Amino acid sequence: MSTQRVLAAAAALREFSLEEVAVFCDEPPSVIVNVLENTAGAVTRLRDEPMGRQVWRVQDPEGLRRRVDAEQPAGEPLDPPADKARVDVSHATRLQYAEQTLIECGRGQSSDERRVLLATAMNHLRQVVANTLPPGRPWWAVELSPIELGVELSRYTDAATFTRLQLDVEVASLTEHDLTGRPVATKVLTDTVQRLQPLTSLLDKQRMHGVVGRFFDLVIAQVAPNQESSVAAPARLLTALARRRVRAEVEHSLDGAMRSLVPLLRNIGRDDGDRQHGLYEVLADLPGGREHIVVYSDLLQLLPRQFGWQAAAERLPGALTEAVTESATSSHLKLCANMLEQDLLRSPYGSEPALIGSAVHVFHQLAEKGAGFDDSIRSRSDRTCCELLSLAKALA
Amino acid sequence: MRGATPPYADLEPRIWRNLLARAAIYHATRTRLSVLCDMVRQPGAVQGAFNDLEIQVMECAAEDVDDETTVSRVVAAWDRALAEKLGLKQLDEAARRLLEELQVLARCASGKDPIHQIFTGVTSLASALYGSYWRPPTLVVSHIRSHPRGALLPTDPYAVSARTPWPGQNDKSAVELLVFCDAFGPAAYAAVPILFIHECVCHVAARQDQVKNDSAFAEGLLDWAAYFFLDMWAGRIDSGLSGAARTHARELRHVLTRRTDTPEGRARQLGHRAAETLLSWFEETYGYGSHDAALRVSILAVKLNQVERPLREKDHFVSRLGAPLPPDLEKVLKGWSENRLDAEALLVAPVPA
Repeated sequence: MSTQRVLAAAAALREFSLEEVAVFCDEPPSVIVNVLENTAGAVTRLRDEPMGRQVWRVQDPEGLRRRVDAEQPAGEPLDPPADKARVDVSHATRLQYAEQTLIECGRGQSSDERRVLLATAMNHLRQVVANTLPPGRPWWAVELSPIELGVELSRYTDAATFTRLQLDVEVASLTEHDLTGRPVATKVLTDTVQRLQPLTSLLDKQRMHGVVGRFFDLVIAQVAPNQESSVAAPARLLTALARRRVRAEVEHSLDGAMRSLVPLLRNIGRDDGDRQHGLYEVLADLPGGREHIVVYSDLLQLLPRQFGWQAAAERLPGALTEAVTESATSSHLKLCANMLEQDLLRSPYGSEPALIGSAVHVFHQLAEKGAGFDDSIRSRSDRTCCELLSLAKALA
Repeated sequence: MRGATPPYADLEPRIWRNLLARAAIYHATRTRLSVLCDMVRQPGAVQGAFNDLEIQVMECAAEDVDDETTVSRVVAAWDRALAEKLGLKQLDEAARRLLEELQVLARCASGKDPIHQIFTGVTSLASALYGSYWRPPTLVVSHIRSHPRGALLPTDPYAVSARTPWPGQNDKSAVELLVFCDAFGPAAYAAVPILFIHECVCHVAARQDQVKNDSAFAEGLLDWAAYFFLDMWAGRIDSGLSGAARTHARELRHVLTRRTDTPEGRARQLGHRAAETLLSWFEETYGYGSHDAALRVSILAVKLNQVERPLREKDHFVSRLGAPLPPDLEKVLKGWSENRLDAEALLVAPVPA
């Protein structure tokens, strides 16, 4: 038994010191040397190093292998493994690990790092898909195509696993685009969101907040402006707020956030060209001196109570509201919008947090002015400013 | 004689005496530890005797005396308690036999630190395994105020854990044993060898860029190798403890791999599964027996641990160990097996463009 162990260790290590091979058997050095010297040249002493360290090398791996097998008593294993229980990994475990990796990919420092993390996550996803579908393709040949997989997978797995896998594959696909800098067409993005919308309640139940959040980050990143200088500051403020508010909504209403995502994409998606949204615009004059307007939503919080208005539609979720207003209301909103617009256009600081900060500054000024008409404006303005500042700190 | 300063700076003297007294008794009775662990779970005289031991340990540890005196007082007090139990007329034969054996063995307990003895045995072997990559560690023992996994003792009696703080570029390291002293029972003591082996095989000599508790390589594949080495080294570390050490290493593995509700638990399960896939590959490709195949998986894990590459690349390698293995990976594995390629070649994998 000890001869076999020494020879087996030697065969595995190939080139080794006496100390190394001793780790794999119980024999003293003199016995090990004796075994190694009696292999008819299959193992030879390569050199003696300082401090008495001997280094050996396997010269004839096949010959050594035959000796190992010859030392083995027939039918007896060298060492019956103590615990042969196979570890079974459930789909859920592998999917959760893949998700951890996809989320980590979002925090990665360099593109190399993120690329390796993505490849790791995709390998795990492929193995789940391969083990879910009927035997056919080996896992490494599985194409993680969200549309094709969706059709196949739904036949072979339960709703919870299907939901999880569908989302994970979408996130992996978007991550790949993000890494390579390839933009995703707005139509593809909206189709992706619409594929996942029916699964919202299941996504919510499974508490997949991390990877759901990552999905939103990736979709929203696709509609972030490419070049800040080509879009006017007021329009950039609006798109920044729209993106951040949809992202923030994920934390308290996944259903609401999902519903807001398609209008967001349609309004500010890259394929539709840069939408130079203004802070205020009259859409139509209405009977009775009223107006149908579209206005930056937060300005409505600065209206004195006596100025009447009625919300009509959400033009850009979290940023632009269509409303029907009285003439005085409309004039007041126009003044506020102009003041904010001037401040934004004059500001030398173009980052999104800076734009939001400018808006907060103007809001304070407008609230002071408006407090003379209605003292509740200050508290409404404070609440709005608080929310804006937290949005400024959030990732776009 | 006044108490000496504990050998571990993070331990208060009373806590140290508590831990030492327990460890000394478990060390002295280690050849019967497996039976003791089984019988302690059932209500009866053995459980009662174990409770007596705990009471005596708490009492004696409260007195500010030196280590040898603490242990001898605990031994004497427990001896009297065992004698009382052995005087019971309704004691069943198995319990009587065990209590008699424990009484004899416990009288050999001394104030020498058995935990450090185990540590020395493990580090000596791990040092030979890693050669020049080894970073000699010091042992730190710390007291924690609750079970490391927040578990209930009967289902998870392993009130002990270990970690290796990230050494960075240093050529020395430390291994920290975290002990919930009040619940440090015989099963936890028997698990100390595998905890030290895990830290030494997986982390002490690791060449990587970060610490990641959810690494399928560091906590999974290498952990699997640590169990292989435990089986191999248990007799050399302490032949008397080897049976209990192997049994409780397996039990602890079941406890830890069951926990797929944590990132660490998932990483462990995935890494173990990957190791088994690789094991099967060696068996099928080369016709090796299971020991030889396991030897090669463990050697490969150790060699990869020595490669100075980011941990995420090693995790990526583990992610490729799904059956069947990809053809390009098989080719490189054969190259490594046949000594044509270094282990590092396994980390150079095509990644999506």
